[in-house]
Amino acid sequence: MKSWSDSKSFIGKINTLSIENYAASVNNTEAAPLPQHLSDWLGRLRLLYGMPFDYLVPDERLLPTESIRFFYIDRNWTDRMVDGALSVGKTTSREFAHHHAVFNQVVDVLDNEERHIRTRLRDPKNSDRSSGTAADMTGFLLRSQVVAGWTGLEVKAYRGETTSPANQLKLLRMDRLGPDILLCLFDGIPDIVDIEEPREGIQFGIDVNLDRHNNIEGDADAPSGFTLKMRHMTGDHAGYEVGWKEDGSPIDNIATSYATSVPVRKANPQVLHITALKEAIATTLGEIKVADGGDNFEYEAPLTAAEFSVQMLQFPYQQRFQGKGQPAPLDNMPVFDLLGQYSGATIGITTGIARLTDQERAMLTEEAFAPRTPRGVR
Amino acid sequence: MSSQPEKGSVIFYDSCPPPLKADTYRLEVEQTLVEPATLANGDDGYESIDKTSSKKLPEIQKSVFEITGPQFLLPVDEIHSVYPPANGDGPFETRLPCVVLKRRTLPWERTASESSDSTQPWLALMLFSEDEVTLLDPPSCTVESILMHKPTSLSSVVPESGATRLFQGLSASERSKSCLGIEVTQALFQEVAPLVSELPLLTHVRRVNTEDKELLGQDKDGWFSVVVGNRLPVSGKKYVACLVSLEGREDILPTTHEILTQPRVATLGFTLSPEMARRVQVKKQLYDNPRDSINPPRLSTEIDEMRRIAPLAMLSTRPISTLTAITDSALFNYSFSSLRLNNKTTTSDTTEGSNNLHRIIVEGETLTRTAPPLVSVYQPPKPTVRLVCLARWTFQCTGKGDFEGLMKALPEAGGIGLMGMTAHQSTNSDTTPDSKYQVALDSGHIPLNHQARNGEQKTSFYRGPMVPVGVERNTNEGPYHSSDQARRIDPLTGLENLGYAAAFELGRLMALNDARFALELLKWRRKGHQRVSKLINGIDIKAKLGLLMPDFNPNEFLNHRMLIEQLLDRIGPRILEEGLLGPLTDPTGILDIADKMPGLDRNMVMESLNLEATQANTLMGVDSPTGPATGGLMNGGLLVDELGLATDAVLTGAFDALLANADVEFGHLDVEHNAELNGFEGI
Repeated sequence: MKSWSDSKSFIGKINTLSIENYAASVNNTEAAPLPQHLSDWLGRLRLLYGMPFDYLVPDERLLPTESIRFFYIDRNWTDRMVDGALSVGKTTSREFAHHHAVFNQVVDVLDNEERHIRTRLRDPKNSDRSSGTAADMTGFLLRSQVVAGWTGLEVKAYRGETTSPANQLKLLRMDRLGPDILLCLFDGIPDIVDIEEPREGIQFGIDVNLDRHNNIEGDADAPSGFTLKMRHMTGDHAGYEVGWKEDGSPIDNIATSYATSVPVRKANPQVLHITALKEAIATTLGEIKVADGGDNFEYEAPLTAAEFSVQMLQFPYQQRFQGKGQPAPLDNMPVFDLLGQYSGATIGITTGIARLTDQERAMLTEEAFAPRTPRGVR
Repeated sequence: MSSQPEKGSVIFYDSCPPPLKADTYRLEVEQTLVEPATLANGDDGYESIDKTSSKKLPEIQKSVFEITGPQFLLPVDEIHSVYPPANGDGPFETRLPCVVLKRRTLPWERTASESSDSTQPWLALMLFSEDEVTLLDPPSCTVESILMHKPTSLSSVVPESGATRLFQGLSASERSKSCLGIEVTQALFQEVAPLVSELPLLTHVRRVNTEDKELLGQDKDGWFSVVVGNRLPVSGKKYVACLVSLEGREDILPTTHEILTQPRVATLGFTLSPEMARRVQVKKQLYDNPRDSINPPRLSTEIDEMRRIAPLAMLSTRPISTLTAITDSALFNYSFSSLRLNNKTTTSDTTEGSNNLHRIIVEGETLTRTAPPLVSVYQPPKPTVRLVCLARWTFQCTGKGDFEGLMKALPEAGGIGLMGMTAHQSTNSDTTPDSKYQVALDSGHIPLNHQARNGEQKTSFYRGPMVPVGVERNTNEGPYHSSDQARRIDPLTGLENLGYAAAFELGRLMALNDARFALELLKWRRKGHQRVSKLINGIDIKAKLGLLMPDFNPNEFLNHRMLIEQLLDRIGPRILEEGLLGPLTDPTGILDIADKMPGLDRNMVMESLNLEATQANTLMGVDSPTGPATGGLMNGGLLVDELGLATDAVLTGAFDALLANADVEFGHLDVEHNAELNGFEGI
């Protein structure tokens, strides 16, 4: 269509009418001002995806081995990066005017978009676009053997004095930048950060009786020197040890804790006698049930493999980073320090035992037999 | 997809066997016709089924299909994680090793037993100290060399076993596949291998919530299968953990084992590392364990030492590990004739003055643990077992390198702090920085060498996106168009701050690097241009047509060309009625010569066509009874009918008038017509 005005007055008009009129015009015609691919790409840029590591940590002394560094994200920095990305192919005053006109809208869209990148990465079908105000973005870099050796670390950040779910900050990004470098970004300023051993990798283990020279020592009760404390398998206290005390009183109304001796093989005392151990656990659980009268402790013989697993659990270690001294002022991160307390056994982890439901079995059939590379029939 | 368990909870499942195990199957489909009872008596109108009909049912359809899965090799990405970590060095003495697999059905896709018990897994995790096991590697290690392994190098036949039966079922290409393997002595294998009945107890499925985790591909559903070992490592040794395949090899597993009943007394071989011991103590205190308060004070050191030495006799039944390190295969290189067979325990000289602390007494003979013994006597090869190893990794039990140890060491090692040069780093430098630089350093700026465009070598500050202090977001600084726009000079130090300029350039480079992004960007921008052009054109049109239509929307107008016609329809009548376009023009000049054209004279038309005056007026569009007949060109001096609307209207009106009185107007024509036809009637 032949323009009704010459180019000079056209540009002049863009510059005068610009933002409000332009935005109104855009809103009239399309739901999203930015195409999905662009908003996704720029959202990732905001979360520092694909950024060369040297730009993040320009000097190695900033992140020595075995260290953790907390930080705020400089929003101006990420905004400039978006500006740079949008400056591609910007040659004439027309493009300049266009960028000016859409700038505020783009910022708004990305403020929302960056909060959904991770959700979508976890599940592409998730179309949640719920909006929220862009809070301060913070995070940490952890450089440690922990990152390399423990796949699937769990990280939680909380705003406030307690670790209630309501206080938990949204995790915007969690990625390994190198074999031993972990990057986490949070939506907000944390007061408490917990880093935890992966739950699917919770280990099996035993308790050891030692003599004063740190040698494993057996006695008549436990010839192997190994013992195992019994745990609840169902109910509210599932996963907790029987008779576990909090604030001096047992949480499950059972006064004593129960431990069973761990049988080992005569031929090699470092090899657990799993069959005998299962029997021992079953016996002890039966004793607890009788002693308790069935009020606080649930167990039905025979012991299943899953129940056996729960008894063998050693709980994951959780390292808490918390501000020391005064609570942090409202808008600032506290000076983090390790929480001194040994918290390995106190994590409120709940376990459950279940059998596969019919639905899960059906699903299993579909997944296990999903088409693979065909092989010739023999 | 059923939803994940709640945050923080783990669900355990006994097993998760797939409906069909990996194998070859034959599917047979047979059709039969069944006569429903209601149809049998034949009185409801249906024909009874004729079994002798010539139409035969289809014959049994047979098809073969195969379910495949990892057998001798396990892709690395099937393993989610291992514990203790590969190459880890820490106090792992109280934890059983385990491996977490991504596929929940994997441990049950095959079976160790020959009978098909669906809950009998085929995987086991075995732990060997480094000197107990011979690791077999490709390319020399193949499926054949493992399954057809002779128990000793001297034996000539391979005994019939589960392994050989498995081997016979394989194709030639599968037999020659290379894989990982391990070889251990049969005695040791019997000692540490799980019992057949223990396999299901050492394998289970866990389900967790993955919301707070790193994204690792297909694990979003949170299902994992876990294989646990049954042997605990001891302090100070190096271990190899092996995930072995026991497919069809139930026959080599021990069936029963005695339980240790004599209390184990603390022994040299089973010492906990100081780190682990400390933790055990801490845990004990934490648990408020009564054992500590009730037990009498510990025995004196001497007594304790004695107790440590005394039970060494118990060790005598087990081979000393340094001896077994000399493997059978190494000895096989000797020619038989030069060797004397000797079943007695090897004797070796003890180096004079060697450290007495490391002496161990075995059956009255003295060996050193540190110096390798000189072997002068041939030992008969011990029968060995070979197993397919799907995955293996090593770890060590000496340092503090477990999760807890590593985390607790953070403050001393690299430190915990905010991003940026810490106070510790800046005060340790040779020169204490000037306080004005200190401000910049404290806020996360890093001085870097900077070669400017003009060749000047200088120092400038850089600060990345990660900063140790909260920075207010400046939303008023509209878009930047070039990186130079974002360069700043710090008034305090006079140094340039290039952080934001670098951010701009980086964003630009990353965008240029992604062809699709650049393309989409240009497409989006072009769309934007089109929209702006439309908007501005619309504003122009609106300015000109606003007089006519106050609520005129130029966007709609341009989007729909049909609207132009609607526009004309809407403004047409107003043009006619209100004369909006101005006074009449007479482009043909017909008005000047109207009196010279008889066809335009009303009276002459009336006479020649025999019309009434009103009829003539209507037909000709005479403007006024007295004026000239201009065919409706003029109406009160205001109208010009360039589109012919007025003429149309007038002519249509006249035609309507004629039709309204059809009998009167056309009746005589009918009569005349009939009269003429009468003459021809009957021909």
